[in-house]
Amino acid sequence: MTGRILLLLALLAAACGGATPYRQAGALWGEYGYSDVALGGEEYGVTVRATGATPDARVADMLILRAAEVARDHGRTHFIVLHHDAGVRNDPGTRVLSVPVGGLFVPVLVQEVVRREKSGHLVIRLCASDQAGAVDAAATAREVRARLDGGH
Amino acid sequence: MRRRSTLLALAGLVAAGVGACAHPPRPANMAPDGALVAAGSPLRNAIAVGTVSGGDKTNPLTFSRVGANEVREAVTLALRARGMLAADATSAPFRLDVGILEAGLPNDPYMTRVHCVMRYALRTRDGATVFDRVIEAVGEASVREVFYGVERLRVANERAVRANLAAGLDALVTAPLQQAAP
Repeated sequence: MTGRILLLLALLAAACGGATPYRQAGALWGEYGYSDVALGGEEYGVTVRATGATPDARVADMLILRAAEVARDHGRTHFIVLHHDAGVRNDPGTRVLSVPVGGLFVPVLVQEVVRREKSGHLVIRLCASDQAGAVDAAATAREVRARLDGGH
Repeated sequence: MRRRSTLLALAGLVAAGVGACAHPPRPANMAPDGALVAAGSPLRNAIAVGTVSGGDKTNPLTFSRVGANEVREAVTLALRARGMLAADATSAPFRLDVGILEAGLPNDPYMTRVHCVMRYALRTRDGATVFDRVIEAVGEASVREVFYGVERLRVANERAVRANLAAGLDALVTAPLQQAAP
């Protein structure tokens, strides 16, 4: 029994820890990753939600990479950043550890926890290359992708 | 007799199933109260609701989600309550575009707190943006308040959006809009 609990605790720790990979956030349940929304005109919002173990720089890179991809997906080469924020959230929650006993999952540990996660948001507007503050989407995507692939 | 009992039991199960479905947040519960904007304010009866984008539709079989249509209704109610909604949208001096960047879906089924992040952009009739703000707010609903998890998420979402709209409209009212005066 103790071995099972330890195994489940280890699996739980593995599931909660580690940096969030660059991927689209899950649509069904709140899986970590990026999401984006068209805000009208040529403006788009990009959101990243990541585990608390994800470095701040990685969250920033995920945001800017997705922004560059949004520009590319809409056939544009540049964008400007209208808004940028990033932060840490500490949300109260409950962790319930259950073990299978006779075909039923019986809760053996109910624990109040504080769940730490990181989030960031960008609002961008697609623009021409000569606009002040314009970011080159292709060059930025290459640079950031290399950093993310390098395990940064 | 047995057949009737079986049918009644089945009907009960169907009714329970329908009751257990996830419902979208209610616009009236998401619309914050607020003081009437000052009579001399350029925002008085001057804002039309523009684009409301983002969010997700609620799938009755899964979770309550915050959708753009519900938020649009809530924004309309909130603007009206504060005396900021234009009577005629086509001639309104301002248009308020709202984008739902993030809305309530916690990463843990036992979480009782959700975050709502919305972007508010107030634009003049010629399209100039005179107010642009991204606001984050949280909504909570405890197990003691709402035991059933699907409903708890709906209530938490409603509270998060309500808090966000309240903060967004408060910021809008207090922001300097001199350049925007029509």
